[in-house]
Amino acid sequence: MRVNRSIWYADRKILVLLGVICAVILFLIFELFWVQAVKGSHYKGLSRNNRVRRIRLTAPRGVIFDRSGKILAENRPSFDISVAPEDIPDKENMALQLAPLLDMTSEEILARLKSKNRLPYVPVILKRDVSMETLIRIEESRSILWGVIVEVLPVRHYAFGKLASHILGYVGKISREQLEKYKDYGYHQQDMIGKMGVEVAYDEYLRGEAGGMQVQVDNRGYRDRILSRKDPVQGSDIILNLDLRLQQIVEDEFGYNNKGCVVALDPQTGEVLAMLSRPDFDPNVFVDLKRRNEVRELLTDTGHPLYNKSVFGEYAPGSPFKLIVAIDALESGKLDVSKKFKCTGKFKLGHASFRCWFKPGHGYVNIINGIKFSCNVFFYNTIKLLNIDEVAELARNFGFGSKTGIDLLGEKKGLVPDLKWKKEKLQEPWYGGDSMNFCIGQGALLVTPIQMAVMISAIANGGNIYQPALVQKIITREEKRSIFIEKKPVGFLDVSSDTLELIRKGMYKVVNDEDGTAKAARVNGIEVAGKTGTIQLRSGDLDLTHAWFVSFAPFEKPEIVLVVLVEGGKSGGRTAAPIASRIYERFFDINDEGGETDVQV
Amino acid sequence: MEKTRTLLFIITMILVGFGLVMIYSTSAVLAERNYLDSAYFLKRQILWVIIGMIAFFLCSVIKLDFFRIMARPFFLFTVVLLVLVLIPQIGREVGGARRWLRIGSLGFQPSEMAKYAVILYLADRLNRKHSQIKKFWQGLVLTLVTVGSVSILVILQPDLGNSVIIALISVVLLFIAGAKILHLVPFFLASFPVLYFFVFRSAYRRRRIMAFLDPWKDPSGTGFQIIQSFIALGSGGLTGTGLGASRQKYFYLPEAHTDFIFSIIGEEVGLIGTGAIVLLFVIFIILGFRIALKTPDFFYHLLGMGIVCLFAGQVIINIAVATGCLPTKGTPLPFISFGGSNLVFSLSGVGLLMNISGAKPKKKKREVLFKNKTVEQTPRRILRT
Repeated sequence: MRVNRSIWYADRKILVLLGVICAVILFLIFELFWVQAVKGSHYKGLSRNNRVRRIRLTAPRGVIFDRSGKILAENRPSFDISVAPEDIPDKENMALQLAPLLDMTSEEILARLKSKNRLPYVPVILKRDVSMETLIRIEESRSILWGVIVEVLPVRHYAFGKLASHILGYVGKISREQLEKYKDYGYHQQDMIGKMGVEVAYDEYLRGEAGGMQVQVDNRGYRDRILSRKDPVQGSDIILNLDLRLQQIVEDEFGYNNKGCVVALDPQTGEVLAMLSRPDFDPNVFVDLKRRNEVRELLTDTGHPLYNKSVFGEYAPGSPFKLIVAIDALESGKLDVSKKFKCTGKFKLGHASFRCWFKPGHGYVNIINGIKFSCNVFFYNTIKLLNIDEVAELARNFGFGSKTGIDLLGEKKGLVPDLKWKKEKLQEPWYGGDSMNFCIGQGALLVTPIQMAVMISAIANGGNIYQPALVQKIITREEKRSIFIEKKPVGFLDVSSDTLELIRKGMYKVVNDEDGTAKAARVNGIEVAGKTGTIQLRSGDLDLTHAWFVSFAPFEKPEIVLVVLVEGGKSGGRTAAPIASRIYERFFDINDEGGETDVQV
Repeated sequence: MEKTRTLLFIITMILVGFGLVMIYSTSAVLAERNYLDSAYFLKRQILWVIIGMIAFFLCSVIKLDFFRIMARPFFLFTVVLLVLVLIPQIGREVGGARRWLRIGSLGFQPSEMAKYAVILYLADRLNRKHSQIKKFWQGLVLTLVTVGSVSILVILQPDLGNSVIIALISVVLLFIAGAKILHLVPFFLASFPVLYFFVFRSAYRRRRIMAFLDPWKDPSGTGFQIIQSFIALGSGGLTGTGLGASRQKYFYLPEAHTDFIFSIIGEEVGLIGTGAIVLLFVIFIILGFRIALKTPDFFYHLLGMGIVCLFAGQVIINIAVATGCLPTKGTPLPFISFGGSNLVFSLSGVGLLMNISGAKPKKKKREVLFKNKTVEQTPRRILRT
């Protein structure tokens, strides 16, 4: 062994090799020491100090399209006028020259330039988003205006103003809370971020990726050379399920003075075809600096125009809830089509008396006519046969009392009361009177219009509960791939098709029979089925009512579910149903010119 | 020898562990953006570490004579893979180079395998044909033709970095085996026109060379990586900006988790960190030399030397690129850079080193078994001296 070892060690070639390797590594260590320790401060300076300026290049947000590819939200350039104070030899003179062009006083300009808070060599923005005329005048006098910089920034622009504003939402500067929350995702102090609607729900896709530029400046602040530049990447485009033509029709026909909301869903997929909430707002005011004062008006308006009633508004469902009671009655076998109750216009329960909305009474009614007339007394009789908890359970299966999962943030859940809930919340047992209120969709029950639309969709499509979806797909710009938002039922109702058939028949008669409650919703050539509702508000003004009309069409092969809610509407049949009727008429009319669609483009 | 082995293993594990930390640190942002999972690259690398540890274990326990027997079949198999990867329907092209074969969802680089195939093949051949090494035609030219063909297959991908490493290792092994330096000179000279042809034939390489000579000429284009690497290393200073606090990795330095991971290490943990890494590699190389020197068999000796020099070469080239001493070329830092093929083969290489260090001299064994035959069974190496 000893002999062997000595032979290897004696091999001079190995020593040469080891020597070469060691020399090279030593050289590298020296090089590392040189770059990191000796020149370290130089490079650190390049990266940290004023000598290298990191300039953020804002990425344009992705474009939002409707389902047919029409642009709803895009970007326009905003021209910002700024000056680099270090580049200006005579500040007073420059301020005097610039003041009339920018519609500012020269004192104002000088104050900005001399502000103590500003960083050296960083240009000071004097005016954002100047008009084309101002820009041309500044360009014309470029030769005398030294150090004036025109910077172009992409700014959000909503092509149709108020149209679909609650779906699109709006953008604004990132707030301090948002910045804290999303810092780790690469958000930056000056970033624009979605504040509402699709803009915030899909912000991570829409925002794109800011670029950056490292510019080395010499000690006088001039840009010496660009060290590196990374171009910003525009955000992903989003294609909505929204049908611009339908949205336009809905906006027109709802009545510009009415308050309330409309939801239109595709019952076979859960796609949101249109969604309206009134009063509404123009999202452009949040971007346009000249309209700053309107923002304040919007925020202080008592009508809450920023509030999307279809998703955040919780209302008593009213008579459409009778459909759920009817389904439970049929499914539990407590009732069939032959069973009739007599309506005299009044219903006695102990000492209390409950009225039907039709004082003379409907006479003998079976379940189909019960739906058709929306006869309260029929349902008072029915609910006495049923288990309240079972009805509540069915309502929950329809999606009431929980979020539908629509792709908007902060959706409301609504409330489905049952015996346990009352005991826990109010420390009271469930009374007979509670059942009476419950079966006609009043009392503690609360639903959102979008939940209502999901429920009607389920009745129309044979029992599938869909998650409503605003967005159809996201097209990423970098890899040119599309992310499709899946459309599959999130639940299936365990209800026989015979029962649903009967309910649909009742809804058909509501609209198409001469004595139906929503005969005003009839449309020539299209078979609409629906259910009206008129709810009374418990507190406050006794006269205040809201009008519901929930419907689907065409009857045989439903393509659209429409939920109309008019706040302060006198009656579902007379206020909400005609609106739905006009929407259907124009939507299904092939000859509809759709003239308005093009006007504002 | 037991101490050497333990130390070698510990250093390897430290480097792999530190590599995992740095891969997460450098790739999290990129992974979050591209795959919506910040640990995407980390998870893949952990999977590769597991595969690598299995390879390590196998290489350290399988009898070394098996590798000796397999040297030629393995070499042929690698040549077949290198040809396959060039066929457009089979090889996967990434960034203009056809380097990848796909196995399931994992990519595999035959050129990483080629380095070990060449070492094994040369170790075996030079051991068998040792008596001919001093002869120019039979000894040298034949050997260099076979190895050169592999190098050319790799260059065709194109993967200049690995083909240069293969050529270097071959020359080093020939040198150790006793080839005459005078014989090697013509090959050395002949390689210049070849290199020149391959470098200046492709525009991107020419630009890289030019950028190396003066990065500031086109700082936002070809000089970009080098400058960014300088800025990363420089802003780290002595103690670094802190683990995870690199600014360069955000978007200024491309390939931050693969070929340029060393620069980010420099930025985050400073000269202390990079110095420690270099020191660990130096100890690793010295331990490797010890193992290769103390082995009783010439084949083992050549194999060990080949592996150690391969590690040394890769480390040197990677760090030299990061510090701007060599033009940019894609060579991973062993154990640390993200990338499965390199990690698995590097760990296999350590396995082989451990295996070599444990090898008992044949003479001793045979002494016990056939006491009277010891004289005839003296290893060939002794004949050489």
